[in-house]
Amino acid sequence: MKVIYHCYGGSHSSVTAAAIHLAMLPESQRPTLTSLTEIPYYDGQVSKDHGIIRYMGNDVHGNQIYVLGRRNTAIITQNCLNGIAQLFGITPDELLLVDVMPYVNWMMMVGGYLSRRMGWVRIGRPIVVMGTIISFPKMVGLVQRIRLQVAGKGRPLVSNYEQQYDY
Amino acid sequence: MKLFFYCRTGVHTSLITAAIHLGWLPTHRKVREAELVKIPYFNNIDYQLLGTPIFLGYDQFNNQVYTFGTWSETEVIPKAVDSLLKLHGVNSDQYLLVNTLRMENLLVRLGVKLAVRFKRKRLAEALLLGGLIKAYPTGLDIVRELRQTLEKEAEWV
Repeated sequence: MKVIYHCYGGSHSSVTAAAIHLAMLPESQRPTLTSLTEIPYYDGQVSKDHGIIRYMGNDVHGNQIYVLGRRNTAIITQNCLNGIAQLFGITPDELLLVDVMPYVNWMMMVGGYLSRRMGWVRIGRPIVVMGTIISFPKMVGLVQRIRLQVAGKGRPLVSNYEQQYDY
Repeated sequence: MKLFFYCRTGVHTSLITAAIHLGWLPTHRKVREAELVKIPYFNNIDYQLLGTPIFLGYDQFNNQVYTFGTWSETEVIPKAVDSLLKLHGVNSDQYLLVNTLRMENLLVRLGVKLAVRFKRKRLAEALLLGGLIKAYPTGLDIVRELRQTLEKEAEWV
C-alpha cells in the first residue's frame, strides 16, 4: 500500500509524520533541531516542488510512505487523486491519503512561511522547528492510528531469519 | 485512453471544451446560451465534491472523457495527478490532461467567484454565459489542438 502524507508545502508536518511512521524519529521523546533537520526534505521543498509526490521509505509492513505538498486544497486534492486512482483500478487498499494540516500550529505556519516562501531560513527554521516539537505528540497519535489502519496491507518484508540464510 | 479536461471548477471551461470535443456543441458557428445551459453539470458546483472527476462520455476515438476542478491550484493538482499515476505504473499514453484555463476570462472568473463564494447563482450564470460565449473560439482552438494530438497518436498505433 502507498501512504501519502500531505500538507501545504510538503516540507514540515507531512515530512515529520512520514518520519515518525518510518521510525526515523523516536516516538517516546520530542525531537531536537538536529534530528528534524536530518530528515530528508524537512524544510527543504520550495514552491516549484508542490504537487510532486516524494518517496520517503518503506515501513516495517512493506507499505511505501510518501509526502506531498498541495497548498490549500486538501479536500480537492483528495477528491481528485482518489477519484482518478479509482478510474485506473487503484483500490482504497492500495492508496491512502493522510491530511496532516490539522496538526499544524501557528508557529509552523509562520516559520514555514518565512523559511520556504520568503527564503529567510535563519529566522524561519528555528520557529518552524519549535512548532514541530510542540505538535509532535499529536502527530505521533495520528501516525499510530494510520499504522494500525494500514498494518498488513503492504507487501510483507522478508523476515530476519530468511534474510540471514538467504533462501 | 482517458482524457481529463480541467479548469477551476470542472463545470465551466473544461466542461465546454469537453462538450465541443464530444460533438455536443457547434464548431462552425457561434454557440447559443440555451445550448450551453443544456450541457449536463453546467454551473452545477458542489464545493465539497470539487476535484472529483466527472464522466461525460466516449469520444470518436473511443477515449473516455472526464472533467475535474482544481480550484486555485491549477498547476499543483495536475502535477500531483501525473505524479500519482507514475507511482502506480500507469503509462503516460493511457491518459491526457487537458488544460482549459486559456479559455477563462474576467467574466468567467467573476461568475465562478459569485457562484461559489456568494451563492449568487442567477447573476453568476449571466456573467458566465457572457464570458463563455466570448471565449468560445479559444475553446474551439483547444479542441482542434487536442484532436491533432489524438490523430497523430492514432497514426502511430
